[in-house]
Amino acid sequence: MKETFKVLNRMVKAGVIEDYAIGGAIAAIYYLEPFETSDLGIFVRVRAPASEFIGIEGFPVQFLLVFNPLTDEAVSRARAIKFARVSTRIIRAEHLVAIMLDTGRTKDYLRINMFLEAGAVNLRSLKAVLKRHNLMEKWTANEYKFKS
Amino acid sequence: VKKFPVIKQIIENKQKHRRALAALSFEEKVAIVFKLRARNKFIKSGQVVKHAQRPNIKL
Repeated sequence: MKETFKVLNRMVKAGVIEDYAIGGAIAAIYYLEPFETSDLGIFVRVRAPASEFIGIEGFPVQFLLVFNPLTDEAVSRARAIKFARVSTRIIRAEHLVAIMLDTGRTKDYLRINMFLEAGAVNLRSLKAVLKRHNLMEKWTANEYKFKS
Repeated sequence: VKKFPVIKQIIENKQKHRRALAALSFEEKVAIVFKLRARNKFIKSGQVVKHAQRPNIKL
């Protein structure tokens, strides 16, 4: 995965993509315990839409285009981290939870539960994100599912 | 009345293990993801597991 991040950083430097941040299950794993996933989800900001999956280091890397104000903000405010001394960017836990709520699949709700159980989100920051992106109503309607 | 075993300790141990995994470094967690993928691939392959064939996967 170290090489993958190097490739992504080179893509930014070469202007292929404007900006990126790790999303999906791999981003969730940064905050939680590891679980199986089939690919690495990367949110990218690009001028021209590109194709989705690219195999790097034998691992499918899915390029998810920034598609709404929430994912745009998630990439803008991503955390700068290091992976094996390579700089990379990862979506903040609060934005991941908001994206999962917005997507709303069963596995997303399960992961929201994992984030809350692990205390991996700052509830105050999360609610600010939810308010900014009109997701408070959806949160309130589904909150009972996240309380164990 | 039928007696059932108390599994509280098992659940607590599982929770403890999950917390220990969550506390690993990002690099270590990603390495586990790759091992999980390899294990799943092996299971899906439907191969008969012989001792020498067993994938070397320790989580």
